[in-house]
Amino acid sequence: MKNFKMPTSVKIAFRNVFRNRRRTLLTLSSIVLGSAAMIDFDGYRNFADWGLREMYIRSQLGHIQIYKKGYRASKGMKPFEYLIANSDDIKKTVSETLGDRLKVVTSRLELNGLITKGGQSYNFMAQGIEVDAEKKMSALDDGTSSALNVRRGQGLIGGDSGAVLLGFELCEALGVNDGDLLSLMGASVNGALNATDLLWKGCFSTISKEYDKVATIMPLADAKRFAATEDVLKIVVMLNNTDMTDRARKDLEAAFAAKGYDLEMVSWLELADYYKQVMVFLGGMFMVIATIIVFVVVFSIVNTLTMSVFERVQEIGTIRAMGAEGTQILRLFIIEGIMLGLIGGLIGMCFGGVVAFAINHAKILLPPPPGSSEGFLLQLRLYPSSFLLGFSIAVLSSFVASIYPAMKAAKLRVVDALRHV
Amino acid sequence: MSENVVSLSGVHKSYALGEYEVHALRGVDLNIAEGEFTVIMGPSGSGKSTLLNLLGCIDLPSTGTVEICGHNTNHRSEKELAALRRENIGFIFQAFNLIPVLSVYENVEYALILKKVPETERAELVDKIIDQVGLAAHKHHRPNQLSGGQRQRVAIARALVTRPRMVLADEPTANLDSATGKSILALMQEMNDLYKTTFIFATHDPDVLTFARRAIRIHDGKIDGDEHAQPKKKPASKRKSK
Repeated sequence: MKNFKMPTSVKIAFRNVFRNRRRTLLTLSSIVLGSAAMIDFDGYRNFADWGLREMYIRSQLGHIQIYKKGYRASKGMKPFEYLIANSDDIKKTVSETLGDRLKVVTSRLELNGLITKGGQSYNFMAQGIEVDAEKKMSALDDGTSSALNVRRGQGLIGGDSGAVLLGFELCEALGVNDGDLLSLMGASVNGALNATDLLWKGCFSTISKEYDKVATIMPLADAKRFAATEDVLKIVVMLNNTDMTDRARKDLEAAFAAKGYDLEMVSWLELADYYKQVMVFLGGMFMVIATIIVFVVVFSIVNTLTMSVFERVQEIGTIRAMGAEGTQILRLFIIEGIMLGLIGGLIGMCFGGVVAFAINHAKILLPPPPGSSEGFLLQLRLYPSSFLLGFSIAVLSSFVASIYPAMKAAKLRVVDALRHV
Repeated sequence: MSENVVSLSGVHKSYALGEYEVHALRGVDLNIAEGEFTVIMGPSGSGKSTLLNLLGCIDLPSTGTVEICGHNTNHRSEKELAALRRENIGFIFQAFNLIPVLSVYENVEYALILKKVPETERAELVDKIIDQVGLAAHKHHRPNQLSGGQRQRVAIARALVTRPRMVLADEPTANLDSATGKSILALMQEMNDLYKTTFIFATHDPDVLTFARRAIRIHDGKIDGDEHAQPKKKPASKRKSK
């Protein structure tokens, strides 16, 4: 095999990078810190993205919701006019269509009304759920915990009847305790006023404090009894992987069309407004941080290379006198800048990874975000794209930063450069 | 008769120095034939460095014509002048001007790389010239590991390795002690004999005269003396590097 020989311009650039070690070290440290900061902030953004998304999907939305056609257009004003009668057939079709992509498919019925304990009454928004299916849905991937966070009480279990879970804020407002019976009052599907007493089984919290002020969960059978119907409002589909959503939705559309079902579907992303707002906010913050970092890195490299040009004026003059063209000088300094970026980017990737590892193991508890009732553990989720981002920022900033000093060097007049002392 | 490598006709060069205009050259006519070993002498400010810059195609005359190896340098682009230098001219500087991050071998090789000489040919040429200037044992050393005399030998090797038609040396012995300076001049004379390369020095070191075959005296931007003579002495260049 022929021995690899480094091109001379690369060799000169590489050796010049380490000519003034202290200065290079300072420049590299700003690139390393910048690159690592980008990587770790991207890790935080990924964590927020994943955490918020999965929390929404598992605790409320599922990946796909199936309604009777027209429900979305009605903006949920008359839910009982859009009930689905053949939910078992639809669930079977979903199961057959999605196969092993499907984690769980479940039905829900939503109710509104007043909930009362003692002399206090509050509005409630109840979800009638299939308890076992929903538990499977809300379980996190590791199987150890649930996205539905039961903070007090024992929670619902499969086969429960005549029981209810309340949102944490609603619990606090009503002042519920073990063994309390709560009276729920609301309209049935035929418009008649209905009332029932349910046993309090616990308080849960979601990521939305506002929702927790009205949220109520009860077994689907109780909800059906309360609303005097055998139908459901929606069917929720939970997949094994969020990335499968679009494909699964298309497949379901085709399957429903083939069966002639008069249904409509909506994906989780269309329903997760808060998630979208948070991600836009984090994206904006990310841009601000990225801009600051790029400025710092660019300034640092411009400074270093400009000083380097100034120190090497006579050397540049000599090379030009030997017949090098301006573009060759330009290339020499640009390679030097890129090399700083490459070295800084590589070290930055390692440093960013180490910092993320340390943060993930430090169990840092962050305060609740606005609108939420609970704090959360800070975790950075680094993907290959995070490292690629940090590395690219380091190299691209270095490239951009080297253009000005390189042009300055390339434009030196040979005769002036040789005279320079 | 040898062809002229340098041909200057009515050359004036002036430049601004603050509010003043300095007339560095005032109507210089000069021809230098191929293979000459010529010294340009004159006191500081006489215009010898300016003249050397014009000969080296790193500066252009204000008026008049400068022809180097048959090429008129007027109205040439930076790129064309760079090519002219690369193909025809070698430089030796007072402060040696070696690239500090490159070894002796790499410094010499760099001139060939700029000329796009293939790698196998480069290795042969570089080894040969380094051997000729007596630095074979130092070829992997960096400039800061060499003495002044050794550094100037590297500069000579670098200037000659491309086989230029002309080598320009600006005060090549000024930073060397007298004995080392003489050995460097002897080496250049030897290279002049060997390669028939034209050597042109700018200096005010009277010792250089003893080696020169032609001495051009310049004063206040004008040539006021042009003597042709056989060198008075030709000491051996002591290959042992100093």
